[in-house]
Amino acid sequence: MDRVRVAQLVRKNDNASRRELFEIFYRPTYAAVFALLRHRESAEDITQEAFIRAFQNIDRLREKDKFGPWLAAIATNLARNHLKREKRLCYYDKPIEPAAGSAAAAFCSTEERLIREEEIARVRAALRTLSPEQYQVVILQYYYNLKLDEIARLLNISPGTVKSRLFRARDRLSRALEPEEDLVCQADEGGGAE
Amino acid sequence: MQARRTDRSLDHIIGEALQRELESVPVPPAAPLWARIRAGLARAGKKRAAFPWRQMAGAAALVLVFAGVGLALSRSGMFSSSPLFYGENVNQDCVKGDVAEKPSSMERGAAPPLALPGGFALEEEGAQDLIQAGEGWTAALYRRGEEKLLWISCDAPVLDLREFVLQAGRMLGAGTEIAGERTTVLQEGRLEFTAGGRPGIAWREGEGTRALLVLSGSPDLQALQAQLLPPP
Repeated sequence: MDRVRVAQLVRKNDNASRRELFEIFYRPTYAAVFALLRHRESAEDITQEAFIRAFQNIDRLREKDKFGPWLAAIATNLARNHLKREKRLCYYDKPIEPAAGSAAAAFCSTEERLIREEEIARVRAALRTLSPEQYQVVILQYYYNLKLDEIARLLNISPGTVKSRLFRARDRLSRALEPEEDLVCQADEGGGAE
Repeated sequence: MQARRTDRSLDHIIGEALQRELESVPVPPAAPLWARIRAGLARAGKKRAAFPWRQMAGAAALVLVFAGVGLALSRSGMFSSSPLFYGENVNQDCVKGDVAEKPSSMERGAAPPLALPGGFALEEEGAQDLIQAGEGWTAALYRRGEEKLLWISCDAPVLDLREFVLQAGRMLGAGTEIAGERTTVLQEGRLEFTAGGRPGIAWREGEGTRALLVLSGSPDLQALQAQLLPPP
């Protein structure tokens, strides 16, 4: 996305600009909310509310080019609150079918590509097991490429808390890649895989 | 034992997995949600008007414009044969002054309802409150506690809803804005808009068109409008 263009639209903040901002950020915002809620109607409601709040408070956004992550922070905060209210954690119940052929990395061999695909599938499954707090910081760091202190400012929490959440999230995700390695180790050591 | 993967490698995998995870989410069509956001912003705009001076001033200006125009016209006598104001005796189809004949709806606009659903009562402050703004046009103020509504009616035939709303805005001396993509709303025969930053809803009723504009408070316009519709 063009950050300069986003900043221009935020500064302008008329109806046409809002519409364009909506067009740019609707999909990732909805997807992030849906990833937490796994419920279409709730995700639509939360996305709607997030855009309304963002547009109402757009004057408070200091770094105008950060509208996307700011909106994502608002939306995921609303989604987290929604989950707390509903007291339901249902991110396991509706697994999403893997997307076909999105931006596959350029790997030299078919074998490497297959391994990579397997790893990504495992991490995707592990992503769904993260807590909403962990998922939120993962989205802000890995999707919006924010730095640790930027995430802390956006979420109004300490950098230490962000660091801790990210550490736990990465730990969990990296462990998703380990079982097969363990099996390989056991096999190498004659322990048997069965 | 295999060497543990590097942080960088893990970051790449997480980034790509997250990207694919988000891209795989089936996203509903954007247009209906945008319409809801626009409506939500319009509703929120009126709520926020509780304290900001600018919006407060806008609402007050609307009332003053109506009151001023109404008073000026009533004193001018220009429309002595065509009653401009309905006063306290509106329930008897009388007007302030000597004219007692009920105006025909086509010439002078439909008579305002005595009350709106939900306990909105016609303002009883006399000439300022009920105004016939032009041929076929009528307006009235209603109050429920701190909530104030302006009811607008036009019985001129073949008046498009959008045109009706724009004309109403011009009469009010307020900038009127109609939300862009209102296809679904229009299919239901109604149109949401803002005038002077205040939310409103317009709809067809018989051969005429009606609108409600919020001057203060935050009543549920859609519910009110639904109750005002005549039975099919």
